[in-house]
Amino acid sequence: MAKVKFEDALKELEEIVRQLEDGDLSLDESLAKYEAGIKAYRKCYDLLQGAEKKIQMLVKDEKGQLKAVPFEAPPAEPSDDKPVSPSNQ
Amino acid sequence: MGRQDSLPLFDVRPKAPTPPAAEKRKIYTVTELTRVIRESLEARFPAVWVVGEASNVRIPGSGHVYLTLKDAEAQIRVVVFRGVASRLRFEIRDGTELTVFGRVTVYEPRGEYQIIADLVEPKGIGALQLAFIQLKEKLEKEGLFDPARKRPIPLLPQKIGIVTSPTGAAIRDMLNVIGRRFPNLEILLCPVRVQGEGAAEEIAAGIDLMNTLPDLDVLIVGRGGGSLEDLWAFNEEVVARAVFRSGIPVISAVGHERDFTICDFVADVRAATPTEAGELVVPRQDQMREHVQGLATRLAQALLGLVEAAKGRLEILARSYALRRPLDRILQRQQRVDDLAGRLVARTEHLLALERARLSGISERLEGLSPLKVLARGYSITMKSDEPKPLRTAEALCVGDRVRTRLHAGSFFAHVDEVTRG
Repeated sequence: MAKVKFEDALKELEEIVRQLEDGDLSLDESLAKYEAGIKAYRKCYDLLQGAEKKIQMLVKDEKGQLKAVPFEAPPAEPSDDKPVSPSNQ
Repeated sequence: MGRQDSLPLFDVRPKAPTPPAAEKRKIYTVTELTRVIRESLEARFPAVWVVGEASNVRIPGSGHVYLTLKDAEAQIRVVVFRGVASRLRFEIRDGTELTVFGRVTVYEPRGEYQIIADLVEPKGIGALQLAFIQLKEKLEKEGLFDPARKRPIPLLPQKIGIVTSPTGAAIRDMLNVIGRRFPNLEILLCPVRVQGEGAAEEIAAGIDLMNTLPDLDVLIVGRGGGSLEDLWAFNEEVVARAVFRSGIPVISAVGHERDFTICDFVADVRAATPTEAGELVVPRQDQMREHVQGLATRLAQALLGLVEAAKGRLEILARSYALRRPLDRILQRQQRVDDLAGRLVARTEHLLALERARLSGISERLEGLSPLKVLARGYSITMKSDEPKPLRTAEALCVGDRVRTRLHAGSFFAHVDEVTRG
């Protein structure tokens, strides 16, 4: 996938929706905007699908070459690192 | 009685020693005397604590630190040899209030007594705290904390790099939160030690290494909670410099909410905890999807509204001109209006239908019906090269046809050289 930034596509979609809702455009412009909006929407949707879930860790092999191997989080143990939310502080 | 001091009751004035007769004199050389003085001083003060203000601090190339410790009334020379000095986390500067532990000795060539320090601590504040304050001041002056250079983190990173311990609570917390909010993302962990000797260098090297890899959108650097000593690596200059150098935006997530580290100040964003870093780094996939879907609906409604409004406006126009324009022009206009409006509506409905079909396709894929999964098991799909439909039977194939076969990864074209009809 080309490096399309999600926020750029989202911003474009939001901007187009705003312009169409303002209704200051001609019909031809509106139609063009609509099509651009659908394109931006598709980009957003594709990016939101995400890649394949993949968690890897860098290691060095025998030859000292870096490679990435699958990684699994260490098993849970009592931790005092509580989620922080301002409401319960 | 007369004046008190003229008639003392006891004479307490020291008697001036009378030099013994010449033949009984003990005569030292300077060296001998100095040695005796040294020995008696060393015997008397083998271990003392002394507090005072540092002045005349000199650190020549040898790495030993020479200074004078003084208070309002007196001063004493202090030497901090390199071995001790190199372990100091803070910098001894003129004016620093110090508590020094050591032994008193004499530097014989100059006949000066001095303290050889074994321990040097800032007075009234921990050595680490002072080191923190000093480094913070220094880096702040250099502009490493400048808010203007802080970069935004991407709203939805496709690939996240994490520099932390592979065994700590921090990585587990981060993966948990990220996985909950956005299940399918790529995450790359660079394992480093996060405390102890050499940890700071490993963290810095990890940040630099991540910057040589392609595709990382954001970097999280951190560890779970611990003592100030445990978190110390994140207060070291090498880490601060590496964060500053990083071309990838950095989220610093060290310890608990109350722990502020130098790394936090340099990073583009500070997360109070590793868990919060997970929350900051990705949006919730479901919420984001809802938002995007809502925008798509508004997009369609806005266009339909415009079409309706335009139709109404044009109808009014057409009527108002009816008395003054030839009928055919009116009819032409009406036709054009209907045509345009019809096209827009049809187009919109078409696009919406496509979207609906697409979305249901997507949900089917999510339910695991993806042909890609079948292909991954070793099956393949073959179609005539000029038709998009997969072949289910050999009926329509002739020798010499060009076909395309799609595999799990890639595809190839081939010519049919034999057909067996089943």
